[in-house]
Amino acid sequence: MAATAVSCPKCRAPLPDDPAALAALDRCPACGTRVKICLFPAFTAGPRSGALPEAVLAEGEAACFYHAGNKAVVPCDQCGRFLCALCDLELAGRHVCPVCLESGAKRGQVELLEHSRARPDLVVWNLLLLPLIACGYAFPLTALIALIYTLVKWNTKPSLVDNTRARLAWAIPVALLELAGGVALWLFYLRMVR
Amino acid sequence: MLRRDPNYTRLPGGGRTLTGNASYWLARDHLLLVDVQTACERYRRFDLRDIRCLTLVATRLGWIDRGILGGASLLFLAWLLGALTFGKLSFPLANGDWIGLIALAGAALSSLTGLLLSIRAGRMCRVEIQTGVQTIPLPGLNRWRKAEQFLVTLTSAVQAAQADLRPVTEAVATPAFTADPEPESPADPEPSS
Repeated sequence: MAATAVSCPKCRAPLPDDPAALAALDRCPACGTRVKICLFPAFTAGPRSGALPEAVLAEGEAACFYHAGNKAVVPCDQCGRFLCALCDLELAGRHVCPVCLESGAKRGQVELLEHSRARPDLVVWNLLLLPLIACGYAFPLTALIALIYTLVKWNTKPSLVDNTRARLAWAIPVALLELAGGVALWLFYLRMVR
Repeated sequence: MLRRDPNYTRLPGGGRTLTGNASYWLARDHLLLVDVQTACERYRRFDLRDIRCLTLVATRLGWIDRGILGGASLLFLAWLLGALTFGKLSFPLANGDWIGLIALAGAALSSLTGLLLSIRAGRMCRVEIQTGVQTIPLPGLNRWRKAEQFLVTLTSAVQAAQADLRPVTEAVATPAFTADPEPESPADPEPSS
């Protein structure tokens, strides 16, 4: 049976435990809101168990680098150390040891472990467009900041969904145009004041 | 980029969120959520074998949306009709203010278009995903119809990934392997006479 109960996303009242009743549920019994629940086999299956290591039985048998008593089953694809079933971590078809995985995650080399990326293109375009609407007099300064920021962040890791480099490239002429227009506006304003 | 990556397929659904937008990408063994926010994008990966259930719940946010757009449409249309019929009563438009009339007609048309698009998109909803260790809302899946399309596509992938999982009770009833039958105990030696 499921270890974690399903609750109504609106009122947080627990829904029936029985998978058949849950799948057939149309409305939340507590708040009456329309719900639709899709259950998968993992809901009724038990917790997933990992592979258990085997002990080294014969002398001369390859042992795990981290657990001398465990039989090695695979070498690490990164550092080549022998690993037992406990230390073998499979990631996108590659076998790595926990140390390589941790160091790879820290250096951002393992794409599957990345949880965020900076988007300098969004910052640049916000700097270019928002002052035009909100604070007209500041836009030469923000255009200059956007231009410098674009050049500094040019080699940032690109976004997974948008073309960061193209957006940054388009921002350069817009920033130059805004800068030139802003400077001309300020000069005109100063001349008018005098 | 994921669009050019043959390992990923974009799922229907996803769209604007409060601070940006969200999109969903299906890989061979996981679902990737890309949540683009103000200055960064965040990723969440769900192993298809870990997904236990998806819950859709209808919300009433759509009615607020439609109420505001409908009210604005009515207001602008009434104002426009008033301006066309009784020129002097339609403050602040003066007689012969064609630019004002065009702006008013544009505002009425855009709010009406927004209302029709909102009605066409259907009712609003919220979607939650439950895995073995967490239950989290899925951003950007705000419309019931789109969310159902998302569910249909994802369900087939998850069912395929979990094809070998069986309920706990069934797994206990049917052991994974059969042990060798116990050797029969040797027959009692016949008592010697």
